Amino acid sequence: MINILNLSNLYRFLFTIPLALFSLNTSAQELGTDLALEENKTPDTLSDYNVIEKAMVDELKRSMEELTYEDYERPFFISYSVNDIDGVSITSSLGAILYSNHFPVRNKAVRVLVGGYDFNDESLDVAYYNDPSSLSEIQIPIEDDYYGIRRSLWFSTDAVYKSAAKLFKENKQYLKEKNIGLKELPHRRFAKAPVINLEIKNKFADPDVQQLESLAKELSGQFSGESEIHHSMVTLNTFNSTNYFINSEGTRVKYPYSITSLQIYAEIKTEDGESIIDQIAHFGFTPESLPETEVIKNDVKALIKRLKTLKNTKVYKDSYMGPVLFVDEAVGTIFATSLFGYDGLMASNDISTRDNYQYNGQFLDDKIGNKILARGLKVETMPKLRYYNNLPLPGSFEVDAEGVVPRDTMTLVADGNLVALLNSRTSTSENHVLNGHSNANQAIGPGVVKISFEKSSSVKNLKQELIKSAKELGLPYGLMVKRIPYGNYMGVNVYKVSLEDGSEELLRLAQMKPLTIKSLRRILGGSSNNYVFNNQSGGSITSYIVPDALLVDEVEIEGSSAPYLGNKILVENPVGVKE
Amino acid sequence: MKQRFIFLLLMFSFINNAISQEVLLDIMGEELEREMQSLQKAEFPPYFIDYRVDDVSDITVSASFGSLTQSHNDRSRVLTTNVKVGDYTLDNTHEVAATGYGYNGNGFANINAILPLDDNALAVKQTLWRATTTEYENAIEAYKIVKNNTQVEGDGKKEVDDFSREVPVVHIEPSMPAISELIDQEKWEQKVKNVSAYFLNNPHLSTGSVSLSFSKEKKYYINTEGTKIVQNMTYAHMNISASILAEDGDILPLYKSYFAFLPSDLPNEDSLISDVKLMVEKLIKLREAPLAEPYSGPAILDARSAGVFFHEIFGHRIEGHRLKSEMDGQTFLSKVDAQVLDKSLTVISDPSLTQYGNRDLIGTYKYDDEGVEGQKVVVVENGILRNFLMSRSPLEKFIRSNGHGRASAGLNVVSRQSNLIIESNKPLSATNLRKKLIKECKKQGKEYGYLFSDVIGGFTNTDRFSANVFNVMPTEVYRVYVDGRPDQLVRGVDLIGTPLTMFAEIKAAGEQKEIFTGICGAESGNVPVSAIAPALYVRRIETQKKMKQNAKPSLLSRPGGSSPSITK
Repeated sequence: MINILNLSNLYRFLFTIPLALFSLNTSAQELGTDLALEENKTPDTLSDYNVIEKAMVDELKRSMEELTYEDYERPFFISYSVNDIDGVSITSSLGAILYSNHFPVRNKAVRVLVGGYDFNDESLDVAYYNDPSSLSEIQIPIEDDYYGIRRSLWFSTDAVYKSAAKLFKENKQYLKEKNIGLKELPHRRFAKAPVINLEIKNKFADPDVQQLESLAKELSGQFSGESEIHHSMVTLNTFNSTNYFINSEGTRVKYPYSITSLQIYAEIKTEDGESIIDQIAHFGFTPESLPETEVIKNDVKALIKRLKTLKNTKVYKDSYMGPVLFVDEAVGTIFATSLFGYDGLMASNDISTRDNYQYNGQFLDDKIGNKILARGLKVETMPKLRYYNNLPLPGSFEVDAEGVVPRDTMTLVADGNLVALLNSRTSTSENHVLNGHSNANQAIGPGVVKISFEKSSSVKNLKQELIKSAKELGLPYGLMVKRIPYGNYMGVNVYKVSLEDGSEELLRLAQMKPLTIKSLRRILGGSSNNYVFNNQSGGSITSYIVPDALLVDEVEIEGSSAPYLGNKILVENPVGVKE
Repeated sequence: MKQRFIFLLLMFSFINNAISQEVLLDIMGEELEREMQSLQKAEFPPYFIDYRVDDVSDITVSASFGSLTQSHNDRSRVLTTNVKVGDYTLDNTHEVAATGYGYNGNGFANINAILPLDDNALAVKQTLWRATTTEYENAIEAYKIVKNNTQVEGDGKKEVDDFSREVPVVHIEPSMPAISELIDQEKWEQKVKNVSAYFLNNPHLSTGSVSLSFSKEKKYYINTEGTKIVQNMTYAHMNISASILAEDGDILPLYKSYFAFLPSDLPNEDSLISDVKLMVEKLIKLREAPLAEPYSGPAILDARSAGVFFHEIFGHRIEGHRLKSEMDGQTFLSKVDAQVLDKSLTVISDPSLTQYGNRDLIGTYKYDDEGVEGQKVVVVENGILRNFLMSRSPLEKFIRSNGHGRASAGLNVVSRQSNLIIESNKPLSATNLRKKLIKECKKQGKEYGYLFSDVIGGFTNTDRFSANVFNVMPTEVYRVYVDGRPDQLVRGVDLIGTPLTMFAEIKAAGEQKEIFTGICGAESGNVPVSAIAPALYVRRIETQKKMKQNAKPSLLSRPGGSSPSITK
């Protein structure tokens, strides 16, 4: 049973980092050999720990040695995680600061397991009620306060253990009542993982809030003369965080990391008053790892130009099913949504039986070895890769939320065949392999993904392929998609590609049927050049290294024939109004 | 003391100067004028627009068992705007009968309108422009519905204006010092740690925390009628709370709160530590107290409990806007000039009252959130209902606002309470109240009556969709035995009932008044309120069992020992 507490909205951003990774059938020995730590240190005495670690170690030791609860079983596993965060969050518009805050936050996660690795309190969902955190809470101190930290951990441990102990008893009882062997009952197992002592040293520089505010103001100020832009906003977040993790198996991690995001949003309206939005997003580790200010300012100019173009662009009204050439950001978006959505290349947590079956997606657990994607397509995770072509990959991580170190590279799909699924220490299938991809949201994430296509080609050639394929299908034109802002498939801007001369005509507001894993079985070709795409979803960042063009067959795109009947703008935008 | 003087001077000085020194107000005025002029060309031109900006700086520090768990600073400027289409007699806020559409049903303001922290004219104006556009579009849609319903079918309601006509006001207060000059944050961090550390002395406590929340608000208001207001307010709110686990698994909480305009006027550390020790003593007694059974019979509500009791059962039913809605129970709509309470009782709402005794009142303000001066309103005079708490949404016979239109930042205004004062012209001493209680208990054949000594808060329903009940949540309740046995502390009691029945049962009030300071939540958000009441003797109340927890004692001892000296 896990209890994650003290989560604020501001803190959620920190969960952008997939923290935990692990595999089930891989032995601890095997995983251990892959450890390639920047610095590996085993403290000789508790004096080597700082106050936070010492409090965690002492309370965990006491809990493991002394926790007993009536006639319930004692815990066999406890883990504590504390995140110590220094965050800055700034919002700016038209050169003015709307919000600016520099804040310290700490949060904790406490996990207590009762039973054993094969069968424990988390194995089944038979309990009707389970809420260990509903009563009250002792928050974790924001100072290095030894007893305060212990009290906070003690309080959560007590609640989580009591609940876990009862759950395990119920799980055992269920097994007995059903008179069924454990092998026949779908259930979650807890994988054994190698014990590590990992301390990554990194000294954070104090964030220069004034400088960050100046940057946000400078960037948002670029919209000040743009009377056609209805609304614009710059959001800059940067977090320095140290994650402390220990468990009763002996693992100890001290992992500092930084994440910075810069998002620039803008909105324009057509003459009819219809809204068109777009954005720029840059992700890095520290603010210094963002692109140079002049580069971002050029991006802003391009964003403004794009929106102005779209303002006078016609709406796409046809119905299309055929080949579509995706380029740049659009390639990243379709891989992010199709391969790593809810039922993507991650091990499922599903323990349905026929009497309680719930459809939660088309899981791939039983498809290891099967061809699931187009021939020639390769999907690898490289969670420790921090830079690619000098571009930061903020999805990267050294160790996951469960204290498991991932391999440097893991192949998920080779030549279209499913090789492995991402997993945490929780497993529901023999096909699940512990590979250290658990994040602090109790979800599984890849961190850094590289996707390549064996038969690579140039964008120019792929465009010719698009034209050829469209002609063969008797289509009047081919379609190309360059960006899918906010991953919104309901308002995609498409380019009609002439079958005669390859010229492109931009049209807006097309509705694309979202691509699934099944859609990616019909890839006609991919580019040899790579594009880095960072995607923030559900509080996590994933960095994608993808071909900068991908030709997919049989994509369905519908036009919007409905008229826009909204309100016209009656009062002029004050930006641009002469005093 | 010097700081306090400056604060009061700022708050209540009148500087009626038409030429504003406030840059933000000037920018708001320019955009307001431009919008109003531009929209006059529209098919449905607005007849009224207002802008309200809540510039709020907050500092919150909190500690648990001697450990600092939060020290947070924040500042935001939130815009709320109203655009009215039609005219004062019939506009987009008119309630359309039986649809729920109208004043209560037309939704919230644009809560995402965040203004720049500095006075960047362009950025401020674009935000105002966008918010005005959105509100204007909403107003047109609402107005069309209103017109269609009133023209085609008639809504069957009496002719009451939708918006009151008020005299424009100009009131500009000079700026206050920055929040950092009004509070020493580091000193308060230490203070909450020191005070909360005393909870360590009892090993049975589940929680023990102390927090201070200090906010400085600068409110800007401007409308197309010519009203321009800039006013300041500060709130220093402190809370002490702890809970203890009873033998049967119930978790028993106690709370104590303090309010002053400035942190420097809150109780000193020694006084707070004394209160913590008293709270722990009470919790220990509460732990041993028996669970109470449901009861119907006589009771005394001590002054603070009586304040919450009146706020819930009475205060929410005199808020004028509710009485206008056909979705509301309208308890008092037809009872003007009728006796609704014991004739010894008078009920007043007075936002202009800044202190009672020597204590600051949280429900005070100079102008409400519609730019109308907060006025003293005698709601009930010697038991006779005379008036309601009015915003600018008129009622028949109550066509003007009396300055009770309130809302939290980003939400639309409705009529709300401020400082609610309950007075008796025949107050009884505590001894005589007790005698009345015992006499009535004997008459009703009761072994004991109840004394509600303290409460945490309460809630009530006034609409027609659910029972019009109230629930007051006591934390300290005693049985008062008729045979002279000592009062017995009990636990697990909620005070419940229905309003009209309860009003008739209030039979006497005490001499000493006390203040309950609270934050009242309703459709226009959370607003600070106080209730100043004497103890009340009620001939018959009803209680029900409080929801009970089933927690188990902690399996291991709480780390950190029992004395503040060993917490670090």
